[in-house]
Amino acid sequence: MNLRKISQLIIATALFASGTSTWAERVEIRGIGNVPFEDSVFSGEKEFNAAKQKAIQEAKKNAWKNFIAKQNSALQQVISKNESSFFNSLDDFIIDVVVIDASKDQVNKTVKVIARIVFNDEPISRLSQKLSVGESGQAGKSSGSTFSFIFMARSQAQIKQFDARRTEVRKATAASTVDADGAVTAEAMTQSGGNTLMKADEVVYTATSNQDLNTAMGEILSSSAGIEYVEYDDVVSNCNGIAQKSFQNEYATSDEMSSKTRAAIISALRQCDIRYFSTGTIDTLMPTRDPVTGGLQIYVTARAQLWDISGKLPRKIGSVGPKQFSAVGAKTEIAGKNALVLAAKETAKALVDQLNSKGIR
Amino acid sequence: MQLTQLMRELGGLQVAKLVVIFCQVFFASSNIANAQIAQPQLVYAGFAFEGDADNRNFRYPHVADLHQKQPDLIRTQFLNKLNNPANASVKQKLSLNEANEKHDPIMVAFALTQETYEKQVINGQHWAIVVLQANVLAFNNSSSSVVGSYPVRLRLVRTFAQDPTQDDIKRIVREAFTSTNQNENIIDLWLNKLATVSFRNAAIKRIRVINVNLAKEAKDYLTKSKVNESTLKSSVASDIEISLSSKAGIPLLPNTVGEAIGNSIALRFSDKSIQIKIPDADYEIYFAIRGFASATTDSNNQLTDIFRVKSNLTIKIGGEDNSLFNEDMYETKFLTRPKSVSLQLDEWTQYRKTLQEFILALGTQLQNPQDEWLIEHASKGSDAKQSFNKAKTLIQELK
Repeated sequence: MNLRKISQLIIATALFASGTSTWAERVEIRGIGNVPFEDSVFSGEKEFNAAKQKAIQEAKKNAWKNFIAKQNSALQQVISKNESSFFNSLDDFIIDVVVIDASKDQVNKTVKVIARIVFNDEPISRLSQKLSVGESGQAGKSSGSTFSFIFMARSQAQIKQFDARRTEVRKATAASTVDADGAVTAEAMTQSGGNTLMKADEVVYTATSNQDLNTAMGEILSSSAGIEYVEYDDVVSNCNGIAQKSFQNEYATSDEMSSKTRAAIISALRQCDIRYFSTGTIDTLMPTRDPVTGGLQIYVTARAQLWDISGKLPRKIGSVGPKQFSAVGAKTEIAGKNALVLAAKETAKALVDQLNSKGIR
Repeated sequence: MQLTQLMRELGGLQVAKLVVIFCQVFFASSNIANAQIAQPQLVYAGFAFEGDADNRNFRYPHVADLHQKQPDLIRTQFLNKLNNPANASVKQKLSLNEANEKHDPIMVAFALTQETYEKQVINGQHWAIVVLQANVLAFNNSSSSVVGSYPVRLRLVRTFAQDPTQDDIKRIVREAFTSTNQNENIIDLWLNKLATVSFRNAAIKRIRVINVNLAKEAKDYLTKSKVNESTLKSSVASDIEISLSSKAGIPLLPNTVGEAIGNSIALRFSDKSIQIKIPDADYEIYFAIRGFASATTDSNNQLTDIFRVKSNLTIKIGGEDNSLFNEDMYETKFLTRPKSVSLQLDEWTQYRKTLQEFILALGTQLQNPQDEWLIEHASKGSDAKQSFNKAKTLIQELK
């Protein structure tokens, strides 16, 4: 599978993932339409209604432009390349048109319509997949996939905070001046200053179960878009990869694995014909109380890198973060899981954006 | 035409095409259903305190206390009434179990929004007045966004020979949830409101109270009278919601006047807290209090106290500068009493009541403007009729 295919699959993943939730998402956008209208003795309600209908069509077009502007860059690129196909299907994307106001503007001689246009993002996602992957691509159903990932879920075990160290400097000087009449005036001066030294917190992490994280990423990669990735555990058992347990301690105080470990992993991945490899960390921070809901709020920080390991030297072709996500729950476990799943899914989507911005398609 | 006959006439290839078309139509309609075009079911979400968790004890001191000491009381009262509602249509309208519903349902919560207590001394009698306000708040579960809300308000008045104690107030609040008198039970009021209203997910226009402004003259008076501006603004916003909902019969997006977060509200249920988004309003309501004025006239054996509250109501299209409705108005209250009666009238209480009565009447007038009322209440008099007629059209569109 070539790079073009993989990037198409990942693009399709993101597009499909956003459009295959249990319930299609309603996206409401306000649109304004203005069409020329000459108000004269000959123009009655019929003429006004005709102008209003034209203005509604204008409002739909403007709302569509606003809708595109709010999408991620992956979808924007697909729409931009297939502008007419999307535009011709506009009415299939629109669920509701709520006309909020339709009025004659006597000064500018126009009919102005303000409308709330409700889009259903599911047909938009479907058309995007069709146009980016092709109908036969079945949203990236792959065979002989060459993609694998290792993400480390970590939680803060210990935070060492340092007090600010203040150094005060005082300097006392004495000066004397001789006046014209020979009198001597003595002056004592004290100058003070100093500096404050701040030291960053030292954080120690412990690796936690990757199960939730892998499931969440797998949902994006496999269930939603049909990318058949290879679990790293299978690389370990089939291609002499090093077990995650043996290097997870490296993540206790560092955000990256050592170069030696990475080389060993890449070597095993190559043996298994893996071409694209993603690695990263998702760190769960200490819980805080959410003042709005009263529940526990947990923040997670995600960072990821995407590598092309087909050449002699691995090439980093994308990276994400660090980005923060948060979730609230009645218990620490619930809030933590929610935040972790959210971060895993959003990280996958962000990787797609990175690929797209580099023109890898 | 029978389907079998049609199949015979069309032959194999055409039938295959027909099946494809049928599948396309079927799946397309499934998607539309998923997109919530179909009329969704209502599912009871539970009793909740609206607003930030940190403010719960401050905003609802007595209900929060009751809920804390007897956590099952309100829930049990609700379940009993929901299982055997006085109004049979409630049972058809509202399901108790989300899992039973095939399509994405609309959740309906009892969202408590206000608790106030005031006391008055009239002819030596101590009057305790407890007011509870709640929303029949509908929200979409999958998108966590508000569909609409209808407020209900319960006002309980009890008299005492002496200054009522905290226990007396707690007892009144408890009665608000347990009374067998339907008119004095907020759960019954909520259920009765639910029975008469409808929620639609799709093409409904939305209106919301955005802000309550205070002109300098009004601010100066409130400062002098030590009235909390923020509490008043929030309370006036609720009054407007009650008026438009009960008199004009329209749902509103809940206001967040006086709260830090403007586009979402927190609902605190007994077992969880959720935050729901408030979608953008198509029409925005701005209410202003322009000032207060009072005078007392003395004739024969009677005293007449006159209280006037000056206000303004503006309705705008969301995001637009031009207003659809912008009218200055006022309400005047006359209180006549024999000189011999000892009545301790608090000036601010009278202004507040005058304002409440005005806002309640305003809902009726926006729905159906009357010339007589306009002459007595609108600064432009009957010339305000055109604006009110525009508002009337808007109210019809919001239903």
